[in-house]
Amino acid sequence: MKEISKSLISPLIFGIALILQILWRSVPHSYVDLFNFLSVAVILLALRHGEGAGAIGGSVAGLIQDSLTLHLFGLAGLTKTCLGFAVGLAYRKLNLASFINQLLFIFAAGSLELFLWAGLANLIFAFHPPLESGTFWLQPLGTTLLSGFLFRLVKS
Amino acid sequence: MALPSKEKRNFYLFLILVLAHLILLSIQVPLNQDNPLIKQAFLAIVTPVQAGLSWLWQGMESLWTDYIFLRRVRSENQRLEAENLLLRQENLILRQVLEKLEKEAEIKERLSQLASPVVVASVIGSDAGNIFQSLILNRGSQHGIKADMMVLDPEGNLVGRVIGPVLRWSCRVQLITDENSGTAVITSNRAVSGVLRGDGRGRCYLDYVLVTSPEVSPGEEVMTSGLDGLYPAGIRVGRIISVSIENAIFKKIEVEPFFQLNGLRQVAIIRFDLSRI
Repeated sequence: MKEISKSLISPLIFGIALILQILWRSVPHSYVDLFNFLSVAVILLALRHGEGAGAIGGSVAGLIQDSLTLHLFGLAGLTKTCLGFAVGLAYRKLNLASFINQLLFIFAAGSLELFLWAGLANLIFAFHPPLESGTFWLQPLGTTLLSGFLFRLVKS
Repeated sequence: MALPSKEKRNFYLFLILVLAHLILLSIQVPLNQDNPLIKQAFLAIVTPVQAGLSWLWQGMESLWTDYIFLRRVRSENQRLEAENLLLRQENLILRQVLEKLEKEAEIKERLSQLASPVVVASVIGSDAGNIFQSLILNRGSQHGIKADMMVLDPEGNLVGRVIGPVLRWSCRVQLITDENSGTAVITSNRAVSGVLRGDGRGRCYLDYVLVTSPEVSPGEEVMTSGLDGLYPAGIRVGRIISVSIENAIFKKIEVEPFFQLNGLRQVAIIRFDLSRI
């Protein structure tokens, strides 16, 4: 029973992330870019189950995000796949026992994903992410705080 | 034959996924296919969830505002009554003006055409990449919505147009602030016309206005000219906020749209081809 409930945590996290992402973006507002709940779900999945699950989760989450945008389909899928794989691999290889180290690591991974997405969008695919928006650049911080807190919660 | 280790398998899986995404992206780039089938499939799965959650959220909000928090209802009611009176008067005046211009049968025909062209839709999602690009609405082909239909905000200002794919219960609106949008506009004094293009950051620019064209100044209003065949003439679009010389040929005219994206919850989709009126 305990095993079943344990294995249900990840799909549950994914479902909740999707619901939060939809509700958060259901009405346009100034802070809409502050959180990317799908990135949070990918990070949690990768931290819990490793790089393989992180990459698959990243693909699915990214494609969901892509389906809700006007631009090219597959861009967020690509960057979130990289995010899931990198977080899962690095977490397994690095010593991230302390909470601060975990937060710093998630912040670095979240920033990398955002830069990769914005960079590809801007330089290769020639559409412009909202770079002037202050909250856009705060997204790694929002993702870090939320992911770190939730990971601690799930772990305990 | 020995199976590869878990680490290697995960790495191969990662490579396969990255390759799949790159193929997916490369398929769309040269052919400029904005809506591959897989995107439509994802959209068809996600938007009903979106619509359901939005409905639930709005229901909870209206439970609070309509049944619990009633402080402003009285004053709001009085304001609406006054507004209603004004609108009825305005309607009466407009009918009288119309009667002077046309025969009764023609008027009835035109008014009957106007009876059900407006579909009120709720915003159920903003663009996941850049909120100034698109919106997702809870009305689709089931409600007679088709691509290229005009979308206005509650004050009648231009928001954008419906673009494909139009699903059964939902559709997507390309905003005029999207950098790939283009709207034929004219200034309110009818002096200058051009193409309004979004900048993807909430503002628009009036393109292809020659340096030699008549003067325009900040504060002037911009409205649709009808020349693009998409929007009828005379729909309010925005206000000019700055004018400068971009290069030796064109002026750089910045326009602030009238519609307010922040907090936009409801819009009107115009199903009728207004250019026929």
